[in-house]
Amino acid sequence: MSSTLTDVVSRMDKLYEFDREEVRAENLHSGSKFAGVFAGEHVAATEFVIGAFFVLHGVNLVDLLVGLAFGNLLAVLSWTLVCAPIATRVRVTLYWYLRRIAGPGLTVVYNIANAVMYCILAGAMISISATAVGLGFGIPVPPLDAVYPNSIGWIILAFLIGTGFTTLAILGFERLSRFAAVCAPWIFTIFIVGAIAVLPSLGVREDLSNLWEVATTRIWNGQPSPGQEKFGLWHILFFAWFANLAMHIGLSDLALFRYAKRWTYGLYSAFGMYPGHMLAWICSGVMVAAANRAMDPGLMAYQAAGLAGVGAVLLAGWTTANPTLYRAGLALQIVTPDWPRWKVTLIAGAVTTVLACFPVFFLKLLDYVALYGLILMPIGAIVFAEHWILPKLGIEQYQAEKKGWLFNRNATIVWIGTLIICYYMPIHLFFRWLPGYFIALISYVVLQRITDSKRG
Amino acid sequence: MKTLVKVGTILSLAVCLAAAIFRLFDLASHAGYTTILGIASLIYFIAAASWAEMRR
Repeated sequence: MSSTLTDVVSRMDKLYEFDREEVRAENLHSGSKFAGVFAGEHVAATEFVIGAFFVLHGVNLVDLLVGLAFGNLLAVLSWTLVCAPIATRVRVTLYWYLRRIAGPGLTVVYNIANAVMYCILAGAMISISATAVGLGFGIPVPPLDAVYPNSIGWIILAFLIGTGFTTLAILGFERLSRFAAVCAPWIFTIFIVGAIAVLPSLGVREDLSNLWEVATTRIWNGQPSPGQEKFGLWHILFFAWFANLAMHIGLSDLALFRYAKRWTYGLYSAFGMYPGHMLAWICSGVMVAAANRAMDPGLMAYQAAGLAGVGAVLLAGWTTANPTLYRAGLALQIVTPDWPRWKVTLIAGAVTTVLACFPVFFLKLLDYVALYGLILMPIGAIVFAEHWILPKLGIEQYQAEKKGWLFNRNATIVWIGTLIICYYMPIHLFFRWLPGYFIALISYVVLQRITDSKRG
Repeated sequence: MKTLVKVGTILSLAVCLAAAIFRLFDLASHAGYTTILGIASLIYFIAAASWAEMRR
């Protein structure tokens, strides 16, 4: 068992060898590059669903605006004050930094967990694209409480789209990435265009004099749809904050910010948060209200922007599922050492396609996003504690690396223990990660202190 | 050529927005608005893809 794991670890090291070296000064990127990356990455297919779900969950307009403004501010500050300072000091990816802290064994487990999460996310994006294509074939979108597919047509559709996306990802990931960069400004424009164009159908007058009234009575009117839980200010604020929890508090974006000249480059994340996670969510809320609150992104976009809207949903799903499939494949490559890139992508694509047949992943997207961040959050807390707190308390850092441990026992206990405690917390799923983070942070420091003093 | 492609990219997005504003003020029918949107989107993709190729 141990030798198998050691073998897996050495394969993974080879795989990530290219980013083992610290980034050199001449390779650092400009601020505008960071702004572009964030602006392009955060207008995805999921935006069509998230903003629409806020309407279905009966959020009122003031709660929405205040929640999104402050939630996104907290997200930007998390990148700036938590992720970027560590990234600009260590200048390596989370993979390599976590390896020093938690040991290569736990890093493998983290990678596999990440791969599964990526597959589910890509599956949700395929399902969203399926709603656009299904429109042309009269295939109904599963109801809001659906877990399993409700028709053979939906399964065939999800399967064909999943197969298509996977094939294209195999044929040329890099070319598709360039295409995604071309699509991003247009998709964002379609969000705005669609929302503006449906305003008259909601009763907004030509002089816009009743815009606020329509927004508060016909869009974000505080009334949840049947079967949907009521959301308030805190739900929105926390959702906007944790929508990318794995990236900022979870420190996945060390990979990105290791190229930053200064930690203040974290502020460039605002270029992704406010257009993508505020404006696009507001626009999809307007569009779903005009579609009589039907959770059908394809129909919603078609009514708002015609064929261009359908194209936007399809392309948003495609261009964001593509890098997600790539990342999942990269993480899975550890168990398939000699397989070529196409074969690993094929496996990741096949898993993703099967998952896409289950509408639950896109119909419960908000809960899934919360779980995704929650599961990976303790790792961020462990790395933060090891980087900043242990040296201040005089506790030895990087013991796993120095002593050649496969698993840092304390890190493993903290990760599993935090998730168990979070599972039993008597609060809403959206709020659990925050106390969970501090539990992970404090318990890791305490356990490391105990281990250190025993050894001393 | 490069300038033409840049202008085409930005202008096509501006036309998309203008079409929606026309629709908002009831200056265009839904069919007219979606047609303009479709054509402007096609022009955008041609221009933006060319621009991206030129930058490589």
